[in-house]
Amino acid sequence: MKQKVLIIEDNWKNRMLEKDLLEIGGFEVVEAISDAAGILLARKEKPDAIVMDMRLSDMRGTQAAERMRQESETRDIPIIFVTASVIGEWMEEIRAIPKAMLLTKPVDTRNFAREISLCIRGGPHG
Amino acid sequence: MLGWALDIPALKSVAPGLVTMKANTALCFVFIGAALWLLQVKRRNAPHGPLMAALLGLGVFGIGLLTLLEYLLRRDLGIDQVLFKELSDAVLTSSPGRMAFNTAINFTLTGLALFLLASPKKDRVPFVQILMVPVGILAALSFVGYLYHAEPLFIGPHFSTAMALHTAVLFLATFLGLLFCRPCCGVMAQVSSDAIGGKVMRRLLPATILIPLFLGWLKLHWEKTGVASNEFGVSFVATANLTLVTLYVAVLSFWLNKSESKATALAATLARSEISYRRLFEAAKDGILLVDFETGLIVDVNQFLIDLGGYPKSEFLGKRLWEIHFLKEMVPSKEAFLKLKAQEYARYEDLPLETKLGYKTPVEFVSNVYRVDGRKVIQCNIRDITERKRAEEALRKHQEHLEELVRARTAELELSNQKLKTTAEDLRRASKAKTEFLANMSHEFRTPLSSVIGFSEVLYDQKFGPLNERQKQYTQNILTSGRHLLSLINDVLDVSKVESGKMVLEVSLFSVQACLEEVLRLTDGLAYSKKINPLVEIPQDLGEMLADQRKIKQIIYNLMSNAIKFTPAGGKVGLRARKDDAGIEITVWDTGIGIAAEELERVFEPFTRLGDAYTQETEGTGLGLTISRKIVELHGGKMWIESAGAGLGTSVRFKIPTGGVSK
Repeated sequence: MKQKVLIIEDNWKNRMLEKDLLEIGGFEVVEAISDAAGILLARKEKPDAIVMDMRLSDMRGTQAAERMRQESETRDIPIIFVTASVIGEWMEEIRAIPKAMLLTKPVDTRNFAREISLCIRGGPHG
Repeated sequence: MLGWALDIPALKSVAPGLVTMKANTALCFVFIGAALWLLQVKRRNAPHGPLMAALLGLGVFGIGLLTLLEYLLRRDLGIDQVLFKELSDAVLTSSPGRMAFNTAINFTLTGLALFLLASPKKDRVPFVQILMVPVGILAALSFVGYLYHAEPLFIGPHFSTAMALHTAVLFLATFLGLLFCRPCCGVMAQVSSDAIGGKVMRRLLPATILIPLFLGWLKLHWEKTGVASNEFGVSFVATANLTLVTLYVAVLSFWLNKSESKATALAATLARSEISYRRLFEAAKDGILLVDFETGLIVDVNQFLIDLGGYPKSEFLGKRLWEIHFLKEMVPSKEAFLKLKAQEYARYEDLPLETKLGYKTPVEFVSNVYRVDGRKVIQCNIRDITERKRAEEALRKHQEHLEELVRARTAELELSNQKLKTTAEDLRRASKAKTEFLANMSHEFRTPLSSVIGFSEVLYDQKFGPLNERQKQYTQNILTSGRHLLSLINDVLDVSKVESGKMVLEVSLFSVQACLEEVLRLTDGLAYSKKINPLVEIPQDLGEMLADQRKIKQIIYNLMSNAIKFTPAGGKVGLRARKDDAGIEITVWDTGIGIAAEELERVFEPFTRLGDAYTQETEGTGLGLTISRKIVELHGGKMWIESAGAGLGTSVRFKIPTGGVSK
């Protein structure tokens, strides 16, 4: 059975690239374009991992993550944040969230799928 | 008096057989004594003293005069025995209880003298002293009579009672008492004066009186006792008097000579001082006026004041101070002069003196009072202060000018300070805005760039089907350009972070050796591809460094890869580390294209690229060395570059201090 990944991303181009890479990598992908929708979908689909943009229009990524960590169904799902920012201002917040890691954009298309599966298996940050 | 009251003969007469002092005489002496005492007592202690003394004097005068009248009218007025009765067989007494004729004269004169003496007016004193002369002579006659046993002298005229011995003595005392009562006045002023005459009087007079008396007594005594004959006595006294007078004359002339030579010297000194004073007075650069203190008449005026005012000397002399129009500012009236007199010192700083020609000259006026030969003189100094005022005015203006300058400069400084503050604030805001802008820009740039890189990478990897050669080449061009743009964005962001102080060092203690070895591993592939085998000199005891490990590693990696890139195949590249007390120094050197001396510092400026623009590789952003140096400096270290010249290779060194980072 294919592993399921939830992508929460409001930029459709990013979403498309990530989805294509993951599907080539052998994942089943579900998508949400907002944190609110993402949280609902996560509850429903129970994905193996969540790839989430750090800066969404409706909510800060870390806030959504904290909310999911409070619910039993989504508590243990690894979260992979993706951000274009290099300021690193969210490093502390991300470290405070269990089973969360950070990837910088642009994503490494050649390794993206591998990094996600590493994360699901309980990788270095998991 | 006691003798009469208690009838003690020893008190009435000095010796038995001598005439008694009559009761009235004794009473008069008591009066005289009391009066003299009252006159000596300070007026404050006995305000009615002089009046009492005058009354006592009148009493004495009355008694004396009445007794005289008794003698002259040959009548008994009944005043002789008012107090006490005397036996009619009293020795040498014309009428019982009546005092002697000469005693009565003396009392009349003495009483009058006392009455005058009690008067507050000093000019009566000479009369007192004149009145006392006969008193002294009469007393002296009786006294000498007693001394020499010359009976006619003390017994007196046949109609009169004789003067008693103690009466004579008391009259002598009275004589001296009245004279010395007012030593400063009349004849006595001569005696008490400090001048030569007074000196002679005081020193020689007692001897003049006593020595002849003594000599006379000695002569008589010798003749009576038979020691010497009359001739011997006379010659002795004559010789003695001769000697004495000669001695007197000698002493007197000696004193006079001395005094005169002193006076001459003094006069010479005075003359000299007068000449000097005159010179000073005439040559003075102040106007000087001398004014008589009492009258206010101008005594002298110097040339300077004459020139200053333009009035001739005659306009001043003999005039009163307040009569001179020229001086109206200082002494406008007699009242002002009286005030000046009372104060004895006056000073006016700045008065307008009006000259004859009508000019106003500012002057300083000072007046002092001096004593010259017992007279008071007012000296007025009038100084022309035109120059001084001008200088003061110039100084004041200069000072004002300076103050104005200071004020203007202060205002300017305040303004520029304000400007600076505003500028600094603006700059700070601008810098903050710039950093925020760059952070946002970076994010906004990276989002589309992520798509460019991501999609072209997937295309280039042919994940969705094969591409022809041209398509593949194009896709690769898109990919490399996208990556270059990304690294540019990243470097620009780094520079701005360092410049705005946002770059945070994550300092830790790490092994330098391990760090260098990792860099060598990372550059191994690149070096191999250019057939370069880096020369590595790393001592074993390098130890640890306190710094941001990731950033230091990045710097060394950049330097190594640059060195390899800019060195032609077969050239040499080296990595050297050295440790000293100050810190650890890392050198990356090569035998590559080198840098001309004038270009050395420029390589640290942003976007500086070395070598021919056509041969450049596209990966460099031109910001690597700029960021590296800034990061080293952030660690408190230094980075510099050395080259023997173009084509001769380069070495880049940096040093991180042992103490670590200054945050």
